[in-house]
Amino acid sequence: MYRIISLLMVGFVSSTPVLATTLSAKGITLSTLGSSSSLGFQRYHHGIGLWSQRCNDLKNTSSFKNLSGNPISCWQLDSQIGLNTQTVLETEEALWSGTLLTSHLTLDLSKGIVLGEGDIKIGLFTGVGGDIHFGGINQFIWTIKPSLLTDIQIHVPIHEKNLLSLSGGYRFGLHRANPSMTLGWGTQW
Amino acid sequence: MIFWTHTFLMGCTDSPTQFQVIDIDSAVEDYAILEREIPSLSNPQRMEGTLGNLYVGGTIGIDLASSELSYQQGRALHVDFQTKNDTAYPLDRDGLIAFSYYAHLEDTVALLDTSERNLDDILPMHSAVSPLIADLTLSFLPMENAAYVPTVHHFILLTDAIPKGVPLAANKGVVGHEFGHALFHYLTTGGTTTPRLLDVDAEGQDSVYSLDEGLADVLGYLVSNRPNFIADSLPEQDRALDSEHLASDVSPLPGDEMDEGLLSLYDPYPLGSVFAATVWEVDSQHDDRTRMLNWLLDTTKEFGRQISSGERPDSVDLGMQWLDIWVDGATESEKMWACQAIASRWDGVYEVAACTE
Repeated sequence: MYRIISLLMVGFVSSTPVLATTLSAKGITLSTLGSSSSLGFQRYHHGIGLWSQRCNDLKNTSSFKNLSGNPISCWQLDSQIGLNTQTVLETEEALWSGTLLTSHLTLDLSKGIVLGEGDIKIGLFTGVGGDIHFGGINQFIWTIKPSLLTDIQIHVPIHEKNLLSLSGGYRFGLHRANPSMTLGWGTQW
Repeated sequence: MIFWTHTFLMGCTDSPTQFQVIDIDSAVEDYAILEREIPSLSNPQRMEGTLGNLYVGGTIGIDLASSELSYQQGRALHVDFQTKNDTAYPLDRDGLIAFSYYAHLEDTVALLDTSERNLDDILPMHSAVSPLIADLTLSFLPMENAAYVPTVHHFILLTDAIPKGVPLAANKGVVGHEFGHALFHYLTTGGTTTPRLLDVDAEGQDSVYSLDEGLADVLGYLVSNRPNFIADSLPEQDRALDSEHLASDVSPLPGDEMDEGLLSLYDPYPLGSVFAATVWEVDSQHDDRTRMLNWLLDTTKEFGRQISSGERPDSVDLGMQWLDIWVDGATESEKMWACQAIASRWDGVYEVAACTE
C-alpha cells in the first residue's frame, strides 16, 4: 500500500497566503502486506504497486496550519499486487508441485493531510480498501476482504521532482487488523 | 441480494460435503492431497463441529495457589476456502492444515468408537492455536508442536518452525498421539478436567510419563497404521515402533537421576518408545485390531483405578507395572506374545511376574 505524498513545496513554504493549488503525483512502490492466514497467523505478501495522488492546499484559515506548517489535503488512489509461497505436499495436480502460491490484489482510496515545514513531510491518511486474495493448490480460489485502512507516511524529496517515501499502517478487516509497509519512489507534476 | 453479497464477501462458502485435506492415500500407503468427507465438521469457516472447536490465541493460565490450569478462550478461526462441486478447497496452507487436522481427529474418534468402551465424555475436544502459555513447564515446549493440556482438556497447536510437506497438525499419527494423551488422562483419572493421576513429586512420575508417551504413540500408530508416523513430519526422530527399542539402552532410566530445578531433566520418549515397541510387537502378531484396542483401554483403565485406590502404591517403576496389568488381561496366546515381547524389550530392567510363572 503506498501512501506517497508529493512534496508540494512550491507556494506552501511561504508564510504568505496563496491561492488554492492543485498538484498531482504518481509513482511505484515495493510493498509488504500482512494477511491473516486461516489459522490466525500472519502471512506476509511481498510485491509491487502503483500510486496516484492529487493534493490541494488548505488555504490560510487555520491556526493549526501555523503550527504544522502549511498542511495539504490529498486524495490517494493506489493498487498493489503481492505474493507469498508456502510449502505443501507435492502433488502432480498442483500448478507448482510442493508449493502453494497465495497472492493479493488491492485497490485503495484514501484521504489525508501532509504536514511539515521543511523538506521532510509526514502524511496521515485513512481510507477504504478492497483486497482480493488468490490461492489454492489445484483449484483457483479467491476471496474478497474489504478493509478500513490507516497509514503514516514519511516523504523525503530527491532532486527537484522526485521523492522517496516510507509508509506503514494497518488494514482493519472483518476479522483481524493486518500491518502494511511500503517503500516508494515518485514524481510530481 | 443478501446471499449474493455474503457470497461475494466471503468467497463462496456454500456448505461443502467434501474437503481438500492431507491424508493417507490407501492406494499408495503414503500421504497425499485428497478430497474426503468430514461429517463432524459443521462449520468449516469457523472450524466448529461435534468433535470440538478451534480457537485462535487465548491464554492458558495457572492459579499459583492451587496450580490449577485454565484456558481463557481465544477467538474463532476464519478459514479462507471456496466450495466448488461440493468440495471445500482452502485458499492457503493453513486452511489445508485446519481441514486435515479435523479429518484426523474424526478418524481417531472413529477408531475409538470401534471399542467396547463408551468414550463419549472425552468430547468435545477443543483446540487452541498458538495460545499464550503461563505455565512454565508448557512454555518450554519446542517452537513447533502439538500438545494436550490435561485438566484444561484442550489441544494446543503451534505453527511449524520449519515448513514441511506433512505439518504436525496434519499428520494423522500425531493427532492420534495427542488424542492418546487425552485418552490416558480420561481412563486413568475418570474425567477430562480431573487432577492428574500423580502429583508432580511422585516417585512414579517419570515412568508413568514414559508410559503416557508410549501409549500415545501406540494410538498414533493404530490410527495411521504407520509404525513410524512421526517420521512423516520429523524424520530425525528415533520413534519408530517397529525398530529395536530396548529398555536396557535407555539412560537415564526413571530413578537414575534426580530432577534439578523447576523442570525435570528426564526425557520420557526413549522409554516411551520401548513401551510402544512392546505393544507394536504384539499387535503385529494379533489379527484382531478391535480386541487389541479393548485390551489396551481396559488395561489403562484398571491401571488408573489401582493407583487411585491406593491398591498399587507409588514407586519408581510404577509406569512399568502397567505391563503386569496388561499381561493379566491377556488371553493365552496374547500372554505368550506379550511375555516374549517384554522379555526381549525389558530384559534386565523390568520383569513381569506373571510371565515367569
